[in-house]
Amino acid sequence: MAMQLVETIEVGSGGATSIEFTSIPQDGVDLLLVASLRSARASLVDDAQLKFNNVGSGDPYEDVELRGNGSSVASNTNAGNWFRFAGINGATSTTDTFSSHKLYISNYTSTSIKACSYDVVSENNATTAYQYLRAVSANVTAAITSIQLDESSVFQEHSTVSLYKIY
Amino acid sequence: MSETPVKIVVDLSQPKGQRESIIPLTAEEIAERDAMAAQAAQDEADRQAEADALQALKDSAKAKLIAGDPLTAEEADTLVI
Repeated sequence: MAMQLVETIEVGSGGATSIEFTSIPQDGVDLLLVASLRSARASLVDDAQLKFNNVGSGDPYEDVELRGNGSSVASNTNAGNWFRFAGINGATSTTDTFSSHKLYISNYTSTSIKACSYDVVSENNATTAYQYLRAVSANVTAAITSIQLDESSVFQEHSTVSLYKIY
Repeated sequence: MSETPVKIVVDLSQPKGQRESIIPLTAEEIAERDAMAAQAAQDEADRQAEADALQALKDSAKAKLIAGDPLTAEEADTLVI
């Protein structure tokens, strides 16, 4: 297996509410989305919403989550019309820090339900900083041709998202 | 920040350097963002409630330890590493 960078996007000075990759090449086996993000929301961490192929009804995204906040750990399950791309550094986290995210999408050209893993570490120079680890099942049975990441606030300047192809 | 929210669309069928478009959101997309914002506010409230509940347990456990009173299992869990 080898890994090849497909594209990297860096958010410019105005910020952006959404980043979408379309016409994803179908010649790979797996995909890896790597992101370094900061949101303008006035909170320590923020969540964005991720969808494959813009599929967003019937609760197609399920996951089991392990999480920590710097002083305790917990777990729960989620189901919804989008995958909660959690743990994004918010505007009250330490200035100029960004959260680090990885979403691994297995067998993305298959016509089966997609299995993914997600991990993130938020950055904050204090006790409270969030970490999430998730096993994801995405009931999207067509080959993944687009990935949409929507932020209800704004991805701040210098946020980056990279898409890799594993082949 | 920009006055009009924008999205970045990356068309990977195009050659490198010609893939990125910055597009203003439609009214429908802006409405969808408002719903997302409400969900985000709820998520933040849930996180805060979880942190507050843990802190209350810790405070209670500490007070009982000082007073020599027995802890509940939940309180003891906050002390055991």
